[in-house]
Amino acid sequence: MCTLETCVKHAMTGPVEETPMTKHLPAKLRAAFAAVAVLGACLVAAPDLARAADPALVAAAEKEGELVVYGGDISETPHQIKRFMEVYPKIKATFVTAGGWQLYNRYMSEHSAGQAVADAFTNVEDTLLTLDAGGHLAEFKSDALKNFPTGIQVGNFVRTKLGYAALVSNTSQMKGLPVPDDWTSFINAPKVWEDRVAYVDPRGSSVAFMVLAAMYQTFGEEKAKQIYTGLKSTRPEVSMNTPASVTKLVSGERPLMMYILTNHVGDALRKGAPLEFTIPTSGAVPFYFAAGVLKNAKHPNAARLYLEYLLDQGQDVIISRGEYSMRSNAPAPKGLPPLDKVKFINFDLKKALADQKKLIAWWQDVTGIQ
Amino acid sequence: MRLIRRYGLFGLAAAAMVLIVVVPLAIVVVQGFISAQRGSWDFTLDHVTLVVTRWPYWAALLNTLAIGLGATTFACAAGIPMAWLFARTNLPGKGLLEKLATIPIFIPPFVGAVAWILLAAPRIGAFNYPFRALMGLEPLNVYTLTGISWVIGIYLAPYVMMIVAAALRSMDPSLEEAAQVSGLNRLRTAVTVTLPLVAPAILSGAVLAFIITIGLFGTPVVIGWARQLYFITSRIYLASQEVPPAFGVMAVLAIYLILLSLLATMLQRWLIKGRSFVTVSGKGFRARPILLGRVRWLAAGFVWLYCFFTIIAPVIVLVGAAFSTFTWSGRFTSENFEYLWTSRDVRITLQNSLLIALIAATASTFIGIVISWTTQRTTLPYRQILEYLAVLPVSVPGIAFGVGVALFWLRMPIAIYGTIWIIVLAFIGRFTGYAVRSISSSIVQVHPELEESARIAGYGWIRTFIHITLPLIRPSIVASWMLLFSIFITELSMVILLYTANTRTFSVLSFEVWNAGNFSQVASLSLLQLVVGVVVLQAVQLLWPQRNVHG
Repeated sequence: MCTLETCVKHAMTGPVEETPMTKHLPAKLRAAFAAVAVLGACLVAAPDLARAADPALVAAAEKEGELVVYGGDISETPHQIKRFMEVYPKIKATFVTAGGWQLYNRYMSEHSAGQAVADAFTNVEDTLLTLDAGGHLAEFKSDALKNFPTGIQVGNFVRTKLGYAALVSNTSQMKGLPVPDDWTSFINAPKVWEDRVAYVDPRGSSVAFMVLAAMYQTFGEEKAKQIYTGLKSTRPEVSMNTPASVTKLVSGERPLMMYILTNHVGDALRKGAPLEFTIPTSGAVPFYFAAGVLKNAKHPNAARLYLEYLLDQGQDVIISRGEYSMRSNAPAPKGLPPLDKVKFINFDLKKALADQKKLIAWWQDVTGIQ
Repeated sequence: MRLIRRYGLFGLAAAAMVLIVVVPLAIVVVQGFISAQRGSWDFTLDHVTLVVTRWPYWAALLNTLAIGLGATTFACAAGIPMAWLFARTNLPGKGLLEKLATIPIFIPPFVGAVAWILLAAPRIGAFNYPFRALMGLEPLNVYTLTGISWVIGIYLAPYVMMIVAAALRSMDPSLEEAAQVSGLNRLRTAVTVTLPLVAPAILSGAVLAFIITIGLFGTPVVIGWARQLYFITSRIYLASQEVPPAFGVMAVLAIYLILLSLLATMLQRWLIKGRSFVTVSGKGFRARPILLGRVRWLAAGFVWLYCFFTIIAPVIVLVGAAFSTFTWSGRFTSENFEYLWTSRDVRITLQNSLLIALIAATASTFIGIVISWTTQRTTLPYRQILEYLAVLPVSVPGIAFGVGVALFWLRMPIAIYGTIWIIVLAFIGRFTGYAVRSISSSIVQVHPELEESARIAGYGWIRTFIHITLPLIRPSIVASWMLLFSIFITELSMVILLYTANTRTFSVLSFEVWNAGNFSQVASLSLLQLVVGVVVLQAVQLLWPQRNVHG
């Protein structure tokens, strides 16, 4: 049985090579790595920890009988809802999935008209941060959280899984051809990449925006401009969302993607897609999926129970789908490296959100896409 | 009392149209001229100025016009000849061919778009393979304005075909026979006699194709976005993604589409103004087929080619994809088909879709009959207003009309938001114009002498309508219902804003699965949607068989 201190120590002195980039990781990110490691180590020692939710909460949730989830993780939400209903068959759970900011707009419209229907909200944490800052999330406390390091909870929401964006290529289509090994590889993009590259429009995708912001914050304006100008020279496809690009990546239509998310590549690799996932030498762009209970939820107990479930049985679903669970003791998804081998780049999400309009305008200016 | 009796139905219909059409539209339009900051609403021209002074919005307008005209051309080029062949000739196997040629309307536009990417995209397009293997060329590229027009146009051709075929079936063929007796050959008869007589239906079909195209969301986004080809609907979608949504810009762009639609409608009216299109009179007729001779095999080949492009090739691609673990993987699985009958999502969303489509198509067709009859057969003052109200929202993009409907019903004390009824009302409001166009063009062809005779014989207007008018215009009513049902069962752009967790539809499920990048599952869902569409089509045709010429 490990102690919290030994787990943190192990996480912080693990096999991650200290580079100038990781050395200057923000404290929050370091804490997050530690959190993942601690969580994993503790769960190795006590795998049945917190397997049962509070009976009083279960009874109250079952009395409410319904749950409505707004889920920005389009591919995972249906699986989580299905499993939740298997665990709690007396609760009829339904969901709406869409892009995170579409869901946010939908919720705000309903809320302002006094007709909000959502009980719980899950997405990449950009929207959760915004919801929480606007006072729309209810306080969430759980006995299960004591089994997790503090980095798991941010304000009134909890992080439910870790993901990151990295480079990817279709090996059958790119056989014998050079592939990028870093974000900066696009600065001098070889001629053979023309009409082969795809990336995602940051106006419509949360993670595409995060990658854009990460490039800008990490490399500075001038170098980031060179990256996007180099991308432009490849006559790239700019998709409206990541899955649209992934479909073309696996079919070979666009065999190089500037970035792919672990939650998308895991599923494709599990099905045997010929993909090579490359962690950029500068580091991958990290992000968390998170969940919160909405303040005006009609079924608040069911919403709380859903969050408890996500921290418990929901983690099994994440693992079975080939994604990184918050339980880092779980084996890395097939085809993806263990988390402690992954290098992450510095990235301040709050600052990025504050600069969102400016960054989008800058990207439009550089790429000429209006 | 007399006034109430006289204007009662008219007033009721007008009030209903105001509620379900004018108010949502007004909300959308007003958004274009207000600035809602710090809790107060001020008049502003900022949104108009922004849209009018920026080149990207002009480019979107030009692109929209280009695909509007292009898709209409493709739809008419395929739809009009097919209508004539099915309704008027001895085309071999025409019963089967007509059913096959109607199937594309049950393929959701965005699925057709994805299928055509797999058929005609550079590098992976199946149609490009032989050219690349033999000549090292890839002549087909779906990512162009022509490519987008083609994909939209071929899937709209059945709409044109159904409207024109309905008019042809209602037409007394004695005029054609007279032309042939006078020495005109078959082609000249078709061009100089038949085509002008069904001009209202052709124009209805063409205008319908144009306004569906300019308001279409799925295909332009799925194909165009990838190459930075933006259209007005893409721009509206982009504006809706902003936080908070740029309702002002969305509204101004929606106004563009309303104006384009009005222009198309006015052009249609101007072209048929002052001419008589009565072809159904008191004289009974039994249509005889035009014998095509050996050309009939060529004509059948044309229809088979159409079916190949719209159904056979895409369905082969979809079946291949549905059996694959992922697109072109070469690894096969049956799990995407097992998903169809094991998934609770599939069962519930299919139930919702069928219920919504059945209710909305029936209600829209009924309202369409009332409005068409009132407009064409009564002398009530201002009766044309009803038709204008019904047709007005037809070209408003679903995404914009959906915003108006959502904003209106969200603020109403009646609990409609979150139920299927908000989707039903939105469908009726936006699409009843289609029924009005189709049924009106049929009523115009029925000579009033038939109804007058019945009235003289002592029938009231209701009995006259039921026993005289209704049977004569039945083909267009059935065609109209099928058209609406097919639109409703696949509609996405409005539903995507109006559904909630309990009212997800089948197309929402398909879009969610596509959004999740699981094209193999989208393919299996699309095949199921096709099967459902074909079954409904078959049931309707069994219940109300169409009047075919014998041959």
